[in-house]
Amino acid sequence: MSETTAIFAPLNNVNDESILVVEIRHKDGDFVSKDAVLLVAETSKATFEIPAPRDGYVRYLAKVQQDVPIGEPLCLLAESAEQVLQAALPATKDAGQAGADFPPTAVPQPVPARQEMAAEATVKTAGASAGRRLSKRAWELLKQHGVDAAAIAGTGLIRGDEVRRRLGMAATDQPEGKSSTSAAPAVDSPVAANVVEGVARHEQKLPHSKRTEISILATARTSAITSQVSTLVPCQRIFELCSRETEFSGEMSSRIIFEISRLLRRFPMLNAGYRAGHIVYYDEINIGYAIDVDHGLKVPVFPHADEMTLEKIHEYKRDLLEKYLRNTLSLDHLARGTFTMTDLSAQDGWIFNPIINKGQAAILGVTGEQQLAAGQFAFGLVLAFDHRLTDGLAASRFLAELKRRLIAHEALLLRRMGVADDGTREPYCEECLQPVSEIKRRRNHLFKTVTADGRERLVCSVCAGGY
Amino acid sequence: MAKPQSLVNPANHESANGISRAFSGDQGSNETLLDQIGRAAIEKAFLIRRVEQTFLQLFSEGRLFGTVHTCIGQELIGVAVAQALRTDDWIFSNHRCHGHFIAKTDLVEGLIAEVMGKETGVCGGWGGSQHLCARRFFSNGVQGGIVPVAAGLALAEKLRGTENIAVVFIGEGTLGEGVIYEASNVAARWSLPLLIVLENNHYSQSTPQEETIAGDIAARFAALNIQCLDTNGWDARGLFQTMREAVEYVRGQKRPAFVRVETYRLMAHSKGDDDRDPQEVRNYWEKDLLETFHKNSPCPAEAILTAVDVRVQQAVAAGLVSPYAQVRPEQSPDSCDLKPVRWHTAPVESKERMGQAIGDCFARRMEMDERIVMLGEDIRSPYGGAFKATRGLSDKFPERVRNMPISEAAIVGIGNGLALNGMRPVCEIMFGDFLTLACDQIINHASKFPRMYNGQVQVPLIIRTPMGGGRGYGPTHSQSLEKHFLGLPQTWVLALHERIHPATIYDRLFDMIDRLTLVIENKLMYARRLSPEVPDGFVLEHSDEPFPTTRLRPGGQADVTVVCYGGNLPLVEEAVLRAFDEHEIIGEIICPTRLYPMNAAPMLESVLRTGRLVVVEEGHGFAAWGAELIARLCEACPGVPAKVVRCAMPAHPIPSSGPLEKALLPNPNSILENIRGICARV
Ligand SMILES: Cc1ncc(C[n+]2csc(CCOP(=O)(O)OP(=O)(O)O)c2C)c(N)n1
Repeated sequence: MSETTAIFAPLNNVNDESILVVEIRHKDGDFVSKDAVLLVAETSKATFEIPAPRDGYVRYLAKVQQDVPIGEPLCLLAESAEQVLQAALPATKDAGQAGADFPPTAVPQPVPARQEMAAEATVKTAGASAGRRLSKRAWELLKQHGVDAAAIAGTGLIRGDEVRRRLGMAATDQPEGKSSTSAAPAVDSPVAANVVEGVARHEQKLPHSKRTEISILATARTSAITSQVSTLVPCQRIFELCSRETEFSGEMSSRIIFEISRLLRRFPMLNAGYRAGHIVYYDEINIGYAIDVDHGLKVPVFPHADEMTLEKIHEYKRDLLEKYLRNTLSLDHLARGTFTMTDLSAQDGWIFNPIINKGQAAILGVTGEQQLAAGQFAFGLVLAFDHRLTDGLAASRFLAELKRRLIAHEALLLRRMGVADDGTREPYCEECLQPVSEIKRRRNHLFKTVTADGRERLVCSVCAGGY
Repeated sequence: MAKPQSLVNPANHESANGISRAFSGDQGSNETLLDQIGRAAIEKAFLIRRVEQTFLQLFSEGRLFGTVHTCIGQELIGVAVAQALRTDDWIFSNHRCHGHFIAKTDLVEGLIAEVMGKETGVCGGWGGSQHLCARRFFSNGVQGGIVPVAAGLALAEKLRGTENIAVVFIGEGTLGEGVIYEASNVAARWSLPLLIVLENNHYSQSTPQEETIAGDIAARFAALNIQCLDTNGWDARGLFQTMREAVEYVRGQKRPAFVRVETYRLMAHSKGDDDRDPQEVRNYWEKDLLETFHKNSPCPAEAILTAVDVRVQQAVAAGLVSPYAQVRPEQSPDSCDLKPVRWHTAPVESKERMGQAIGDCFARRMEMDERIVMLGEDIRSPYGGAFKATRGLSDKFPERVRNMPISEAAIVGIGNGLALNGMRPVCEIMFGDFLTLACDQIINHASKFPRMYNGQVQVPLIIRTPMGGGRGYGPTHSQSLEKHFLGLPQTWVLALHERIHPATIYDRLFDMIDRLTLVIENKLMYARRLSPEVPDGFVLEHSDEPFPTTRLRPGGQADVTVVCYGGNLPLVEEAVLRAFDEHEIIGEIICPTRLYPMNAAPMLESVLRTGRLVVVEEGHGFAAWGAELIARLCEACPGVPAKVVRCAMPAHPIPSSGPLEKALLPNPNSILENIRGICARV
């Protein structure tokens, strides 16, 4: 037993291509006895301990928090400390295949309970997997070169190409399956990174389970994996009411920006980016506000919106709008957004599909108000989000909370406009929507008029044309 | 056999197609209705009438949505039947069911709210006027199919040895539905406590009976040796008396009976569709017993009506303010989602033959669970089913393994009734091709009951059937028709294959069944042995889903994902092995057990690695399972898979000729060609 023994990353879960080292139990050069735990690793399913297969001195080849591909060496064991520290690095366990440890070392798995099978209700890998298979081409090559099949190590499916490689020949054979450019998308390549530059941030590795989910859902086409949730906010045409009164104009939208920026502190995963299996939390909340009023779509940003007062937001928004209309928005106005709101409240859009901006985790869409039934109105909130960073549950909680707050804002605004809590409204001008108290305050009058088709209609003296 | 005295002897029953002697029924004219049937019955009848008149009123005001069929003029029939019943007896009624419902359950408020579509309705607004359920009362709006279901309710009571009976109401127009005779035949043969009440109002929607019904109505049932009785809706005493006798007979003799009640519907078929001669209708209004009572005894009638009106108006008011039904969270639809699975190496299974393994599992489960009942054609000993899966079972459980006539609708219908009444029926359809004859039971009954009755019932019904060709049985005995049964709400569709022990599937199913489950077995599979050797170079894995997906994972980076189910697995395996041996293409095989609801995650996970997908299925490919799978994958990950090919039966019937059949059904050669094709394409 003077040899060095390498311990490889085992395949505990066939979905995984690597394991994550979470704990190392000894120092390099330490003596460990057989069955003592060498290190603790994590798969997408569970953490598990890797025991020493024999007595010996240890040297680790992997570090804590390192992702080690299946079949790569984790550590070495040898007769003496010197030997282990000087030993040459071993090759990957089976250089031939990616899913190298084949057949997998079976972790006992729950087997479907069945009374009659109780006697043999353990996993026997032998019945489930067996050895290896050589293609016809591989056999021919072996025969051609007079090599015994036993000389070819490894398990699984072995192509002619592999035989050539092992015999030290150049791989000329192109198996049919490999002839085309691989159709499988590169799931988690750096290309898929999605981070805003120039923003203070900190980074944290996503849990293993989330990374597995990403690899299932990722597509080659989009860097974000978009999902969306939406909700209806019952209202009394608050956007409409606001828009009719200069005093209130744009109020509701400002309040939405105000609330979003506060809420995002509680939902940091919606104010984040993604890079190579990591969630990048932005330490600033910069709300982009999509504007498109015939001058093209622009998304100017409210920097540090969560530190702005409502008045400040409102003011800043007017300012941005003005700049937008004058075409004087600078690049700086448009940079560093970490979350976006797109506001269709003035339009008739009902269901739409907001597109998440680059580097961001989510976008909130606000739809136009719709009449649901006589006297019942609602507007919609749509949150599109990157499923890699969060999930529908968190997204709907965010929406639910936002909805609750907006209903409160609306009530407040309505009170200021003269609409009572129970939805009844003091008489108002059906033209300009001013409540009678307000009309009176301005020393105008509210008239009951009769339209050409005999309908009664309340109109204030101003709207009635300078009566 | 002792017959109740006044029963009409089926042998000399008079012809009853026209308006018969029953219509002269003014016997006991000296007595008032009160003397004849008592105050409670009159109150009920008026209650029913007022509720339905209110419905028509609400419709005319535009305050109701949908439709109703009123029984105005026929109310006393339901009252007479309900009075004769015990609480634990069952009623299954049809579209014209409000009267029967109120008579049995008295749930006026729940009915009104239901018809209004409100949450407080007896079925939470899901059922509406024709689909009611409460207190052992059901109704369904498809004519005829309810009769075998009622027979199933009765069979469950018989098997449990209770005295409870089941009643089913039909109209004479429904005599045209064949399933009535399938069910009646079985009810008579098996002596089921089933009372069939025919309300003969002489019109089927608009069609007078004379145009569509031949021969003698009662003679149809008499020929099956079912006791027939005759009564009418203008002789209240006789009506109530006959119903009591009929119920007593069914309960006491444990035999089915048939009662024909002559009657007349005073209002339109549903809301305003009435083409009958107005004079004819007026004449019947004049004969109407409730009208006459009101005229002749205004004093008690007014008192009754006042009380009834108060109740109805209160119920309407309550209904109007109660909230409209909404989908509640627990009523989530079947989700066809992407639920990641975990894999484990498949256990070593025994090498039994598949058919034997299925039968053994049933024997063990029937031993454990007295609720399991097997129905099918030729399933008893010594034959044991066309494919022998039930061989020997009837020797052990003679009461619970029952040979059925060639009546697929009744097999599944009776299974439905058994399931509704707490049993665990397993129906065998001899060839999957014949499932078409049970479509109505599957689609309009079993899969509907749970949700349209607002979760008050479950239908734990298993239908097993062999599908597939390869035996030269030709166009009507070789098909794979499962695609027609995919996607029905509240159902599961499973397909067995030989790399999972059938007991794994059936045990799991018996443990967790709460809905109609269609299990596709493959014809060729029964004789094969379980668990063929796993080919070298592959690992056999099962997922952790309740009904596992099987994966044959190659030892090497797969180039292509091949998905199949059921009987196609061995063909696909052969093709994949040849693809490697001969062409060095590495394929990964995914074979789910549960076809619906579909979990596409195992396929998606594989396709994300390979980018290529071959879907193999034996049935016609158009709008089939494979198409749905591909759609799901595209929805989940646009562009994945990048390349897809389907390998299915082209749109021909399946030919009988061996070579022709072989050429058309998916086979290792055609699958291999598809694999090569998709791997060659750039
Ligand atoms: C299988 C089926 N076919 C057609 C209909 C449409 N339909 C509903 S009621 C009805 C007439 C039924 O007549 P009958 O059985 O005499 O009962 P009645 O309406 O006279 O009470 C028809 C054709 C249906 N509900 N179900």
